[in-house]
Amino acid sequence: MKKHILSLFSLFISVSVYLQAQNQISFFEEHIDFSLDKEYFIINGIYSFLNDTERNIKQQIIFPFASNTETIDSIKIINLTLSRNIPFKRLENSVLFNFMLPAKDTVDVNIFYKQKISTVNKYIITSTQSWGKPLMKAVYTLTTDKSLKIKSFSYLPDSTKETVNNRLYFWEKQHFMPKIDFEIIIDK
Amino acid sequence: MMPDSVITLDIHIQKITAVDEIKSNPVSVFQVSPNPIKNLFFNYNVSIPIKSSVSYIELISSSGQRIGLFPITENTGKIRLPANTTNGTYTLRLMVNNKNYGTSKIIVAGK
Repeated sequence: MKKHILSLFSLFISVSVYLQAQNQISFFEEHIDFSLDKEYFIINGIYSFLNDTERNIKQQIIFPFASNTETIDSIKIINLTLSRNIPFKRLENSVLFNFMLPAKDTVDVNIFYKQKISTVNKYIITSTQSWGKPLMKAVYTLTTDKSLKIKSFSYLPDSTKETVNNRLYFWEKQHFMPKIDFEIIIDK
Repeated sequence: MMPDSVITLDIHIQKITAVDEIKSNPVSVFQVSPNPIKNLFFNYNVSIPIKSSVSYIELISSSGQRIGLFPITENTGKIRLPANTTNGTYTLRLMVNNKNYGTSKIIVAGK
């Protein structure tokens, strides 16, 4: 009996420590420029992280893709705070990378990649839920050729703007906890 | 000669990186051409998202004074410096969401 109580106690401690560690880093803001051209769905984002503790923390990120990594092209991950590339490992549907978050500081990470255009162009934003907190701010833009016909969006744009050749869609969200992923369905 | 006062300071320089980041090369997300700049025009290229961010390029004089601010809405473009820009060395600073993500030393040589 004593043994069981001890095991349960250890498990409780482990879970508490894990949850505490998760809460020490916040993913609080993102700015993403999406674009759709004749060939590619291009994603270029800045993701901001905060370390609110008194110690430096090495953070591991699994960044998910909506399709198999083999179909993802030109991946670039940059620590903008240090102006250095971040090496990454390709997994089946994601990339894995690490970066250091100094104590009481923020780090901005730029992730760029492109995937072949398809009828449903999906970007995973529901992974924000795993951080346990909504994003304080999320801003998205989508640039398309004027000729491209969009059938639907999973999130309706807040505004639209037209230039000579392009159409620009704009979204701005505060305290945003995504319940569905970002999808752009086009007429092909 | 004795100084009027002595100040003792402990300076701690702490810059930490993950080992993989140390091994990786520095990367620039902001490029400018041509350099030296003639005719007061220059081309810029920014590789990070700027449409979803408040983005601009600042022109800073050698004395550190900001003498120009150019909002940008495209990743590539052409900027004309103010007509009264004198020949000399300047710094161009890329600001995105009020953060400096890149600088470039430029020489203005001729109008």
